[in-house]
Amino acid sequence: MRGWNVHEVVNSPDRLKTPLIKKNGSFCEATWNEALSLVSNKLTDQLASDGGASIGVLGSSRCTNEENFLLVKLARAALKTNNVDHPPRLTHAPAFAGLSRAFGFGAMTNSINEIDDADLLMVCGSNTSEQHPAVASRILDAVDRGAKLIVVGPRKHQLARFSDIYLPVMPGTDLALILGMLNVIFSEGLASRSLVDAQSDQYVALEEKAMKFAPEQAERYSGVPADMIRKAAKTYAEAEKAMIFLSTGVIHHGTGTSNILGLADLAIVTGHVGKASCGLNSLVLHCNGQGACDMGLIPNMLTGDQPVADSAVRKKFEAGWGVELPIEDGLNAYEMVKAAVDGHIRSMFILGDDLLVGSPDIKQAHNALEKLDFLAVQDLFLTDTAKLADVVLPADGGACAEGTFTSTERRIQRVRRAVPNPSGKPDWEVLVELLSRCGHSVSYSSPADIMREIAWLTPIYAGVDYQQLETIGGLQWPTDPETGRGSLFLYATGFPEEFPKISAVDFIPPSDVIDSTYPFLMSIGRSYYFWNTSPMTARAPTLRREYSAPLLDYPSGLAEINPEDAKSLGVRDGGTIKLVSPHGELRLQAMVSGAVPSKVVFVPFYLREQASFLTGPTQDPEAKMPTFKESPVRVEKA
Amino acid sequence: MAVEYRTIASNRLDDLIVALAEEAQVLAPVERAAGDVLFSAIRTWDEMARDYVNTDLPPKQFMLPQVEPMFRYHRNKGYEVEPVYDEQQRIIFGIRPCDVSAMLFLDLVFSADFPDVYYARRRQKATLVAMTCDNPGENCFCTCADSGPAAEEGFDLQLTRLDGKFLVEIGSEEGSSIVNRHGNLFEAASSEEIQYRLDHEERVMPKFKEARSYFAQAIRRITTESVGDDLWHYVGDRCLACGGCSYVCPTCFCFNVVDNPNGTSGTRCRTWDSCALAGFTRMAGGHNPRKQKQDRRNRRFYHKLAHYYIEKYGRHGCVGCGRCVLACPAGIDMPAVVKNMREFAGGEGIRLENGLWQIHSTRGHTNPTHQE
Repeated sequence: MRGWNVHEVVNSPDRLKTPLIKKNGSFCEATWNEALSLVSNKLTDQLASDGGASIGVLGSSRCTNEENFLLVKLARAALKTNNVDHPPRLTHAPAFAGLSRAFGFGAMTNSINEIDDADLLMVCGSNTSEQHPAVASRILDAVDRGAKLIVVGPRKHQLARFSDIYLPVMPGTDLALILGMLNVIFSEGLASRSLVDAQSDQYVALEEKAMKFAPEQAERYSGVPADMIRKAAKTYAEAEKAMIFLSTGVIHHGTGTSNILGLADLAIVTGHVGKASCGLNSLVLHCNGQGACDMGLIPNMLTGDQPVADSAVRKKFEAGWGVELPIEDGLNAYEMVKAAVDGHIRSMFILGDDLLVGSPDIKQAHNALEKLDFLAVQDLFLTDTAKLADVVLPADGGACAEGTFTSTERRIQRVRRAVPNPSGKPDWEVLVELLSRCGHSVSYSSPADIMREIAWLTPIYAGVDYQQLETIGGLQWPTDPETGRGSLFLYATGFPEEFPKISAVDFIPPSDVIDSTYPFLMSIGRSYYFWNTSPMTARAPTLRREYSAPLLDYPSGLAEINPEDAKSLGVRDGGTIKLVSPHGELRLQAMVSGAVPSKVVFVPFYLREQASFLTGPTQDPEAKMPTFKESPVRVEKA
Repeated sequence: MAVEYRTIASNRLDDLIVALAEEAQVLAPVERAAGDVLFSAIRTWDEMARDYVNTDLPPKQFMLPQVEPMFRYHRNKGYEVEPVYDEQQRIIFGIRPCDVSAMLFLDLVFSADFPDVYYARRRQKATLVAMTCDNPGENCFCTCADSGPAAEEGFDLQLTRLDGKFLVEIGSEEGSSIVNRHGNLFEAASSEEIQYRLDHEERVMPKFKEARSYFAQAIRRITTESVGDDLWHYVGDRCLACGGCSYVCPTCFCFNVVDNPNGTSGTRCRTWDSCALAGFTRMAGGHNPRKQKQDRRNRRFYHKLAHYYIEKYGRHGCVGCGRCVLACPAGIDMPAVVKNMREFAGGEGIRLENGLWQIHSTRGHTNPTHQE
């Protein structure tokens, strides 16, 4: 749907065509020269007066690898700051963190094509049909040819209805379910294919923990009947080739990283990773979500997960770039917002991110941006964030850009310009000019040149060049520069030394426990037509029409509620309800739906502007990600 | 008129295209990056794709563009309105027989009850030079719709590949005029060469991978409303509502009308629409008679196959191009659903139990919905 109508976004009359400079509170058109010299002067002045730590730089998982790489270089090499991030990363940080802790790489271990040969697919916390329809399509094909499908998640979404086993887990209790499954696997002797030695400390620790967690106990927390847990555990463990897919449903939790580690343990003890059609696969939401991380758009990582703290890594980059790089810990996007409110961050450069709308606390983000001494934003449209900027620069967007994206399956592939950029200036050229004006002269004649530098500095991208990408239609990292081949699935030739690692994490019941005052869990998720903060879909008439369709039926906004709960509240479909949390309250209309279990209300993501006032400040301790998925609420008839 | 034949040597085709490109925009299948084949403007024969099965998108975009400006308006104490007509002369070169058949279907739709001036103007300025198919693709089933592998009507010229040359069939006055205008490029056709064309269907038929589509069963089921609610529900539930089937379909013609305002003036456009989308059937007051996805999804099949449409237009709305097979992410393309109507006669054997689909073919196939 989004893809078929992307032309509406690309050709939108709202696209920015010229740079804008704010004078006396209103925007005036400016030349590129005026705008870029203002941006570079302000940023270099900031650097001179307060140091790099007072500057924040944000990129986007919609930009090409080449653009993001230059942005990272601008931040670290020219502006001497490690405060560089992209906010959508934080929705996936627990997955990256968990996967790299368990296996070594923070990425999908398999390829999408491998679905075709799998015997079993287990989908956890992913409304794949709505958010990754191309993957859902392959899963449906697999089901048609006889593969088994297990779906785990609180909503009985489309894929769930086509599953063999559906496990309606209460939000925030995935790990209880996983431990229950592990219990079955250990007690029924199904761990014989374990990739970690059964005598090892980590294995024994996991076995001990799991043995204390009978399916009946898992049922108490997760609401999934113990027999179903037994059946799912056996089916998964006994399958020859089993792939797990997961997305925001298990990631967006206070315990996101633990959930991933739990699933990793499950895959490790059943031998379901590091083989064709066996693995753990996190589906990234944005077109270049993987690539943006690979390019080092993460405070403390240089390209390809090379830590800034590693002096050998830093030395390599310093030699390549001919500058000294900052070593201080950088702030992530949300920490930057806080630091801006506190006055520690004074200037920001934001490329392609509508920080304001995407933020978990919009009020705070607004205050932060208002308080900055200087803000420059480069985007397709005059977004809410751009409206607060001192300088706004027009951007490319996918259809106008030349470069590469790295897809969720680690595939580095070419993006070609389909239509000319309305501003006439490609993003990479803008960034090259900014780099030079900020005192770090670089010379690239094309995005291909930039990729050569990326490949040279990044082991997992070794040897990648455009000519090769053109001829074979993309390469999956890690690449082998000798053979010019990519990797279909990870760890085909064995795991790195200390991996795979069993984590044996403890189940911690949801921090905000359901009690009699707030007996419901409110869960927030994405919808098909609307896309996160939607700077793009909101400007496509067809998508806007489809997105507003439910809002015409439920003009005050909607919350999905189970028929039984609706009945006991005395609310009909369309009736007004009030959601009350410790943080605030919200009036919405009830959409009575069997898709949600009892005691759960589901609020679509596009209402998050309102719903975020109800969610608490819980963060994943490891990935520092705010919780979007579950918040305890009380539901009242209004 | 009686069909006339000529031949043209392969090495003179370039001369023909160069000459035609002087007279009009010549649109032909061109292979793009990553192997996509799309109609694009060409000026030489070399630019045209060689062994294409068909274009990824149908040529309907030239008669009914995805976004078509209809008129510009300007507010000036009331409204000034100025229609926007497309005056481009086009030659669609290398159009496949199924798409010629689809164009005839669109002609009927847009000239039936309300002659559509936008469509008519574009269509009048379009010349169709068809190319018969030697090697049908794996999703092709035009033989079931009697729309290929060679066109029997609707083309201005039709080319059939011979050894070192092409047989040229003249199908209209316009086709005849092209041959006359560039007479030096054409030669007479021998009776063997004409016979080769007449044997075309028989020769190509064995190459079809799936030459059956059980349209007879589907038309009967749909017309007598005996498909079964469970099957429609199942089809609707599989649908991801992306609209792709409509966008790639050479006969889908539904459109939406939107204004693109810019201050006091603006443009009113029509844009492709799809019955898969919830906003499509919603009425101005907000009521949606087809709120459930399955109630929308079955429209596609009704509209292509129900008896009353066939009676109205004299042909059914599927030409067997197979594009929906590629486009549909959910495996509910035309041949799949038609097959399902046969496998699950009357919706038997397909049931939603405790919210999960249970499927048992009445014909005893183990995986009845599997496509292969």
